[in-house]
Amino acid sequence: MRNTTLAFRFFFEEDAVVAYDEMSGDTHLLSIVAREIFETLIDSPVSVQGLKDLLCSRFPEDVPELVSEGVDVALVQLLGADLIQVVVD
Amino acid sequence: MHPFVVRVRSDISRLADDICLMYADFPVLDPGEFADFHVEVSFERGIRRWLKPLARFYFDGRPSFIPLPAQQAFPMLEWGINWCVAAHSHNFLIIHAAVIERDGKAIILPAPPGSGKSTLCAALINRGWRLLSDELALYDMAENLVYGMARPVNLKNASIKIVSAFAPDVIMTPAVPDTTKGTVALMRPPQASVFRIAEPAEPAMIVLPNYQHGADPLLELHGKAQTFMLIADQSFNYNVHGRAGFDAVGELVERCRCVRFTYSCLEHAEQVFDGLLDGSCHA
Repeated sequence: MRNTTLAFRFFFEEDAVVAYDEMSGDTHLLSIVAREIFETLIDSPVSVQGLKDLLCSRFPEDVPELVSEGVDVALVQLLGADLIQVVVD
Repeated sequence: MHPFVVRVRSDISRLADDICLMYADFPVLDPGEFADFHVEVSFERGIRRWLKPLARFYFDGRPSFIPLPAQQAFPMLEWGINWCVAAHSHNFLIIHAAVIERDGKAIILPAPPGSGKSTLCAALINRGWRLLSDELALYDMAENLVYGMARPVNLKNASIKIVSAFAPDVIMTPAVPDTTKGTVALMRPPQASVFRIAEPAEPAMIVLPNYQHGADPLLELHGKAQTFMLIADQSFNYNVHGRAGFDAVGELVERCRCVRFTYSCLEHAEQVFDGLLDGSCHA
């Protein structure tokens, strides 16, 4: 993950959040899932399947296929915003 | 033009006539008074003074922008003043938006060109709404209040006739063809709006205008996160303010109801806006 700090702003009952990158000054529109993933990756890298398993356990009331799809979309958002990188073993 | 003072020089007599017509209700200060911006719109020197004359905008004595046909002098002055404010007034967060007010509550209409923002604004200020601005919303981030300058409203192409038909008593400059924005005319701001120019307003709604030919009036909720990004994108100096700008736009969006308004008829738009602040019209 790129070394930066994001400031998030949430809005009541919305699935999207806005994030301010303190290092670059950029502002991003992200999904709530993207925010969860970003916060998770702060500590250490996690595989894509690992992220999906983690979020399914955090949101047991949601359909796993939808959580999985949400993770895929969120990763595209985060990669597109240059906030994370893919590390190949 | 509160909160700014602009000193204007020109050797173009027609420009003086247009300024007298459009700014008739604004105070005129002594030449020795402090001015925030010193601008000039004058004939280009040399042969172009006489052969298809051109005019050029100067800021602080320096030429700015390419020269334009002299008949575009007044629109050029207006665009030049917009640039002066947008480029230098970082005590505000400056948003490309119209702002109207009623009962102390402001409605901000941010929109890219072509959305019908200025046409809608011009219509509503002739139906009891106060004009703060048709172009630049000056958001005071510390006070959470929006200021305006109540300057002439810039109308383009078909909107000139549409607004003239909707409000036959409005005073406009003659239409100027062949500008970069097409044919433009400027509409004199209502006197009542000019007299209250120093009065800010509390933002209550953000309305994204969406003109669509033949469409029925439609109000739709617009997500606050998406509205945030639109405001940031339409702000001239969001990036200048850094984290403070991010926090300020977040606060602004949080405080406002955010809707998208699709319309094709100004009479319908008037009815919808009459019900917006009291909640009788809602998404």
